[in-house]
Amino acid sequence: MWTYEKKLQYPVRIRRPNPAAAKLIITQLGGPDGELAAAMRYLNQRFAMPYDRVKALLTDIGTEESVLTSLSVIWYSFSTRGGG
Amino acid sequence: MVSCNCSDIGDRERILRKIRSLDFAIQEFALFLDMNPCNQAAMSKYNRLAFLRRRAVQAYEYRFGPLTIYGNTDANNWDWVKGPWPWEMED
Repeated sequence: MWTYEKKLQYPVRIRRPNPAAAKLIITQLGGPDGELAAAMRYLNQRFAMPYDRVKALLTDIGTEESVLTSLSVIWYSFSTRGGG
Repeated sequence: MVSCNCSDIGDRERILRKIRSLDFAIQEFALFLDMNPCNQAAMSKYNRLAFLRRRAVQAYEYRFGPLTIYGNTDANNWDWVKGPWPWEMED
């Protein structure tokens, strides 16, 4: 289904922990409008899609959104490290 | 996998940066090709990038350990469990 790669999609450097920013970023992870929900929507919509090209597109976008979710997790964990 | 000194860490970051930028480009070509699978210009650019990525990943895994569970290069050691993990990288 998916394969974990032991690397970041984009390097994250948190120089000063910022709990206020972390609070904002965490809303991009969970909740109805988060990356995780978006990824699941793309991946579920595939099953009703009749066109091969769009099946591929929904698969790739859904996968990419899942990667963005893990990026958010890491960003969040760095943001709160030592910041409360 | 050998233990790291300072120049190794610089090399690691350099190869990772190359893989990351190739991944970014390949991702965009994949999305374009999904909807335009007969576009030969995009296809040949994709082929070139995919080749460069395979080569970069091979170079990385040989020196710094597997990027996925399929990339363990040492026949006698399971290097996958060795850190640092992405969230443990320090500047």
